[in-house]
Amino acid sequence: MIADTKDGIMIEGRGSFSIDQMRCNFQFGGNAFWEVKDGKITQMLKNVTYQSMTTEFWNSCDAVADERFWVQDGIMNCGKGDPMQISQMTHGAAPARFRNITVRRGRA
Amino acid sequence: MKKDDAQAIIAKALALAKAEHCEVTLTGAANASTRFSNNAITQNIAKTDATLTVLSAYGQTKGKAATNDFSDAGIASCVRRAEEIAKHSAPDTEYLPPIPQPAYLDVKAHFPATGAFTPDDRAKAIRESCRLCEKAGMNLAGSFATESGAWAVGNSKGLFGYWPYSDARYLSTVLTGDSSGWAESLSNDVTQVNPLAATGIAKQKAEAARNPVEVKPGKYTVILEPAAAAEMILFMLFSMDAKAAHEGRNGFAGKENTQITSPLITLRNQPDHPCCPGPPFLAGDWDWIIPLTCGMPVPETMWIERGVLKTLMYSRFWAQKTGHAYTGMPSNLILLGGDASLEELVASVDSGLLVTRFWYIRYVDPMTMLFTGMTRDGLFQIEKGKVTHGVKNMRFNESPLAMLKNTVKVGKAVRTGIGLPNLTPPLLVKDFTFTSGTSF
Repeated sequence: MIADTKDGIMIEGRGSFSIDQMRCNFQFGGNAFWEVKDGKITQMLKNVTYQSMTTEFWNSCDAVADERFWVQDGIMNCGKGDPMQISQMTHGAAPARFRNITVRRGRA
Repeated sequence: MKKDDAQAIIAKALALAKAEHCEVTLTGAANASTRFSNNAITQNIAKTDATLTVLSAYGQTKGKAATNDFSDAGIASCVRRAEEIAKHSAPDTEYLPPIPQPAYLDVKAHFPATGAFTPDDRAKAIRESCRLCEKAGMNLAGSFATESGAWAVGNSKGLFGYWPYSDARYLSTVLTGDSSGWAESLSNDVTQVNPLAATGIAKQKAEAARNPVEVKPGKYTVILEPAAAAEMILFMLFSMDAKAAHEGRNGFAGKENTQITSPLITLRNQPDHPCCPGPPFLAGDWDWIIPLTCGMPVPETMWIERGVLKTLMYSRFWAQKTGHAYTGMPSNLILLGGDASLEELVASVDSGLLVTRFWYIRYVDPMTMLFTGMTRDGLFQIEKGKVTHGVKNMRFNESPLAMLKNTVKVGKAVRTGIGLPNLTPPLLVKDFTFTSGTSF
């Protein structure tokens, strides 16, 4: 996927995460960011966030890595409701590519 | 959990302790809640539980264990586990030994009526509110929850503290096809909670927010209602560790004793404030911002005075190392209010947005304290001093420090149920940054 990408940003990790209560508008960050130019990782970037609407985002997905790169992730304290109810949840995924996503500077 | 029972359990744990130091926290509560949606009750929960947490220390090594088994064997096992963990732990260079008995404020926060409130009582209140919304063709969702419990602390220096409390909170979200409104009512005394009044406010908001229009992202003059302002302040608290600031690891680095906000902003805590009482001491396991010593009294502290950052949060260790007064962590918060009503604030705005509350606030950048989050359940356009129509929800990217710096008016403070017990006023803020919209 990296070799097939002319101009992009590769994001590792989850970083900051926030989504509206209808699960439409989201803004996420990451733990490491890399510039991709002409099929190669060229340098590290910082202070990156990306924001989109859920259905637009998933409709812009044009590549998903194969099962060798699939990892199981999850958290112990996914909270919902008020008063809060907490549960473990798991969520597996492989790296994927999304086109034309809004990226912002994540620093005031 | 009665005082005698708490004292007996703590005494038993301390008597079993073989470590050089031992600190014990006992927290217990009866929680009950009723949830509802689509104008009907969906869930009833009642839970009574208590947790004994034992911290054992040999010199600078410490270990902690917890249990809710209060049999002799259960307590003994918990104490032994804490000691075993302590023996195998690396030294904590910031650990300080237990303190002798301090004086505690008498903080009245327990009302027997709250603990005696029944599922029937909750259901009757909810039925009234459901009927109000049903008649209007709207859907009501929310919860009515009560809690009645106590905190107790003890240590091997003979300290003992006991603080009983109760809480009641009613939450209502009223939904139409394309809008929603939200309001809450809360008190330590359930007889002071007014579900129907809260539902009425939520209903009025939902009605006024129908047919929401889209506005462009950008900088707006906003009125943040108390729930919205309180949530920004709560997240700001997470950055108030003095040690982290002194080491350049948070957004308050280099800001002590400087003007950081508008002079309209004064933020303090006072555990025995009658309108939002907080615990007079903190348990050791409340150490989610700074390390805390079990049973240390919570001092009354001025955090921001007329815009000047007077202090950050100093643990015992950091206070001793820097020669600063101990502050610990606040157990309640009072953001000083003014005299203006919400309506008067609205009347003073030529063009802006009224925000009922925020949702899913998260740090984007801790060093500059940039937060993101969404508006929810009532975003309105203000034109020429009047709320004119609903607006589709927006995402903000903004710092609480910029928000407090750009505050130009402060309304009357009210109690909110966001985070610590607090009194928070609505804030009129210039240049609040919205960065994107959503579909509803």
